[in-house]
Amino acid sequence: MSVPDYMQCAEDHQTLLVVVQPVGIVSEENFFRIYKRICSVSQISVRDSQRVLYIRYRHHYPPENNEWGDFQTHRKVVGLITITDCFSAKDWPQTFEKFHVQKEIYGSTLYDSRLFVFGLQGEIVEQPRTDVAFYPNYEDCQTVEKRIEDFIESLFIVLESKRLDRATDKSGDKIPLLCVPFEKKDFVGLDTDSRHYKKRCQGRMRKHVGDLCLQAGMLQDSLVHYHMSVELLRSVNDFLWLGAALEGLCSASVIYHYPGGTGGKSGARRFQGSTLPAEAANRHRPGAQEVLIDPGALTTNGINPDTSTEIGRAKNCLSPEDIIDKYKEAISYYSKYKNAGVIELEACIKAVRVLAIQKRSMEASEFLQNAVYINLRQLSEEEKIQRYSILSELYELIGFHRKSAFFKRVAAMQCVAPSIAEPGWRACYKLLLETLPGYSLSLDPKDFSRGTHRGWAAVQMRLLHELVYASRRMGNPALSVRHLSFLLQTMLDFLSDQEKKDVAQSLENYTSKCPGTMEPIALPGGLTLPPVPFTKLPIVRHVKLLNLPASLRPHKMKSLLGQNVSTKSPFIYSPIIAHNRGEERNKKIGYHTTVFGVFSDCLLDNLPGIKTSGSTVEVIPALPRLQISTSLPRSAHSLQPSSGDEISTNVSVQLYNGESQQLIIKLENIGMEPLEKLEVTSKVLTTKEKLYGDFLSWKLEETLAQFPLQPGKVATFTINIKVKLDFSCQENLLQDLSDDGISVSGFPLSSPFRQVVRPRVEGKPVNPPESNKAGDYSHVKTLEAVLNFKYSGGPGHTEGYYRNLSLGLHVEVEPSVFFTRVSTLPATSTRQCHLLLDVFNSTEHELTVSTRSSEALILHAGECQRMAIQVDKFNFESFPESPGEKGQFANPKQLEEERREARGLEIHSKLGICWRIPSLKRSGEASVEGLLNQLVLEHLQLAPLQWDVLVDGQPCDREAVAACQVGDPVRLEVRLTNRSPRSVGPFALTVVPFQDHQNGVHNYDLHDTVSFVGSSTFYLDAVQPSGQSACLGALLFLYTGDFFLHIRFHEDSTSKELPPSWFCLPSVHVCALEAQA
Amino acid sequence: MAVCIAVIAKENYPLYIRSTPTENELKFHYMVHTSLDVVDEKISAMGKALVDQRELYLGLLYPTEDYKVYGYVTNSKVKFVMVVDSSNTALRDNEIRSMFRKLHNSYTDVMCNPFYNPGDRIQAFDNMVTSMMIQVC
Repeated sequence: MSVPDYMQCAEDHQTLLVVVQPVGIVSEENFFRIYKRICSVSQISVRDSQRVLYIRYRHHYPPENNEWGDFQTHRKVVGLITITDCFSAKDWPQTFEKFHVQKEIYGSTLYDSRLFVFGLQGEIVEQPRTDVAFYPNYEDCQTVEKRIEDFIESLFIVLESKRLDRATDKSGDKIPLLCVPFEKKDFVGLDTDSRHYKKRCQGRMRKHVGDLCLQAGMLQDSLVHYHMSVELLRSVNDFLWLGAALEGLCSASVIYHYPGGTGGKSGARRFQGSTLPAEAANRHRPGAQEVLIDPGALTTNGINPDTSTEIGRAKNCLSPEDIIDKYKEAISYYSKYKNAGVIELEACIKAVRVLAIQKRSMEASEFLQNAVYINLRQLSEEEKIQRYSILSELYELIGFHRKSAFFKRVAAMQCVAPSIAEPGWRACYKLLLETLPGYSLSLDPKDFSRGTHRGWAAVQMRLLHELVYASRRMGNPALSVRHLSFLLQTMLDFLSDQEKKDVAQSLENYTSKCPGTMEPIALPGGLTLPPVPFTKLPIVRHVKLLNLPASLRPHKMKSLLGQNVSTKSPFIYSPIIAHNRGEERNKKIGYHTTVFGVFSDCLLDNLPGIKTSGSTVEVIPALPRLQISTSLPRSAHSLQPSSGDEISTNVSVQLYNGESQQLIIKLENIGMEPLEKLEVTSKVLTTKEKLYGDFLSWKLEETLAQFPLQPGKVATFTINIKVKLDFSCQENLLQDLSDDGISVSGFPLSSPFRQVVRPRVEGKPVNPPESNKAGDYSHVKTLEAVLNFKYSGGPGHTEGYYRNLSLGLHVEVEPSVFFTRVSTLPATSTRQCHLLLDVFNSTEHELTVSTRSSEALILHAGECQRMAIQVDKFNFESFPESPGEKGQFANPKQLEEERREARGLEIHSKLGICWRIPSLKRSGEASVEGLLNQLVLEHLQLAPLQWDVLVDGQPCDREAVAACQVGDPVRLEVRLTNRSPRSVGPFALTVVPFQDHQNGVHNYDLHDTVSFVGSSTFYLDAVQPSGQSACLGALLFLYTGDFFLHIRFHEDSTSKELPPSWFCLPSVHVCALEAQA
Repeated sequence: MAVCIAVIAKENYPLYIRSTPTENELKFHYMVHTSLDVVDEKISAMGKALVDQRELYLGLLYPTEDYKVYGYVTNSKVKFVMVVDSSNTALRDNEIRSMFRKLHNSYTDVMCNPFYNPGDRIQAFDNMVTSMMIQVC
């Protein structure tokens, strides 16, 4: 006997062994379906439920083991059930023949046998047979269980008869000597009549009867028989059989004490009888001698209701401690026989199972240790694996997890031993996984992230290496990468430098084919390998949260806050809401790495080296993302650091002073949410330069019409840039034009003061003597502004968040023209005057200057020319006070400044001075706002006292000549309108006529030619503010001619208080003609 | 004499392990590791006894074909495991006992070192262990 049954346990001694085998070709599936149903009939009550038979089914049983059936009857195959397919009656004889052949194999020991035929129909089926059952198919065979029960009944009858047969022939007949196969040759020629031999025969037979009793459900009888057998065999030193008798005693006692079984097959055995085993154990007195009861009294019936014998029976049974002692003894006897190795091994295993139940691990380990050293014949690789696996299971059973893991690992290695033609890497891997708990190794890196390392690193590392190798050979690279990553991550501190290098190297090799991921890997066995983030490679020393770039940073809209909260809670502020936010603080902050081809998502919480209180990131609902691109080139200029805002983009443009340009901005929504809101604000960074007019202006409505902007869509937005800096030349470095005040080019000038006409100076030298002089004027001024785009949309908008994108604008302003000097000349009309401007072209191009009312003046580069512009005087007082006046608190100086600006603007718009550079096709405005001084302004201003002189009812002003006839009186009316805030007057005026001879001679002696009708002096009463007054007179021209009237004021005290410019009366030119006939 | 000496922390990981045939170190790792099963079993069995009566020496943990494994446990549950060649019959229980005591003293010295972090692998142990390993060989 050489094939051990590692699954055996003590209670198997009471079972009858039945072999179930297929005959012919039966599909495995069908066979096991029937086999399973047969196996369900594992215990049967017989004899009115007073005794129970236990059946052990095997579908495979080596016949050589059967030969040991006399030694221990549970090894004897007593029943054979064969299952076969047979579809036609023709095949039937052949099938039946096969059944007989099969029977022959176990023929000597069989009590009975059955044949189950599936598929056969017809007359053969009709013939009733006891040993053959016919079923039409595998589904339709409800009677299988019943058949088996009948079969077992028949086995019992044979068993019972054998038992009675053996038990009763105590004396007279010669008892045959039972022996095991290897003994047979030893007994040849032995004296069969010797007392010693007889005793031996008796002892062995007793033991055999004990076995039969045990099988037949007569536990107490079997104990008695075993006790007697032990006595007999001990006396003749028949050690092998003594061992068997002792083991039988142990088995029976175990069955008695542990009705639940020792094999771990829970529920396989039902509790029988009423006696509780615990009670029985309690009643047992330790160390009590076995009380031998005459077996004859017990043979007829198993259970005797007499309680006195009950006590005796309990004494026959071994105590739990004695069981182990007897097992030890039995095993020591077995060990004397090399051929009984299997018996010894099985006995060890059985004892271990008993000890495991008794929780006596130390002793169990001794038995197991012994079992390890039992050398059977050369084992096949498969048997070795089985043996190691069983050892591992048994060690596990007694709580020796490390030892169990050790043997499991040995079994795993055996699966892939070099001697095996087809290494079972899958099996190896599966077994290795099972060893993990034994080495306190979990494959979850989280278990290693905190505190000291658990477990034995050296052996854990070895196991991990083996897992890596096995998974690779299995053809699962993802698995090996995962294991290798785990090895590197968790065992980093234990790896030597060379090992680290090797592991990293092979990891890189593996990942080149199959990169490591963060996905959990599910194994077929239900185990899931969690991802292994490399938190130790690289080492993170310090973590600091950085804010988002300014353009992406969300801002909270203050106005929306309250409204938002109120939707969730009836309270304006509720701490519960604040709390909810806190709960969402999941430990989600981490970083992403790729190391050796393994992608890792490392959470900061898992980092060993960092002890921070944690970082909090507030996550708000999604907002759109705006990207802007402009028509202008990007600039490398960054705005002044003082600007405060972080500018995402800077654009720059170069403009001439006074030029305007459109900046077209493309707004693209590159986010995932629609862009719903947009606000644009601008901020001009403080500059020394005085800026006139609106620097940046835009119309948002056109852009907003395109909203909401869906993701991926583009809207355009136009901004007008207008640079208008000071055009004056404060430095006054430029050579002034001739100071005569009348050297004016471009257009005719008529002024009452233009008496002296000088030849026009044809400009100034084009090249100033010092060439670098121009440089002083061409220096570039810089303007900077920030455009802020506040935008929002999507769920973030409803939550009240927005984003802010800033665009930096850098404008370089090159000077275009300068007004080097400004002055005024009175015009012929009192309502007008001439503005004289010295214009300097500071560009390097030819430039033209034009005004609203005049043609263009061409200026060469660096040239300076004077231009005169006739302008109507301005009535500044009529300007309404600006409503935005800062009330009474406004600084009077500021007010004055504002007034000046308003005047400047007025003048500028009136003048409409433009320049153009034809070669560059660029043009712009030029403004005099900055250079109008008080004096000039005053000249440009209409006097508050407005004098009108009417000749014959016609207003007389400017060049107009009033015509009259000689001899007719000419009406002269002087009218005064008071626009000043106070009352003026009364005034006295004298009209003085004269003649201009155009040679500088004025002839005032005109008493003979002009006569006044009435007085030559006019009187005007005091005029209230905004009042009007007029005085009338008449003139009579006696001769034809050109006459001028000079109206003079009488010098008196009242008029002296007022500035002389207020008394500016037009001169009257009257042409007296011959009276018509 | 001793072929392998190991000091094992309360949490059952090695604080120190050294074996003489260095080429097959892993074998001793396995041997000592599996012996912890027996140590655990013995400690749990001992747990019922009174603390002051407790015997620190655990005796033979288990014999293998070539070696005998002995165990010793301190009151703080630090385990000492010694593997001895089976062929060396000169070693009696008493000698083993005294060797463990020596080991325990050295271990106490290591613990007294203010620069030693409990739980770290022990470095300054070699001299004494070497002497114990060579002593008889």
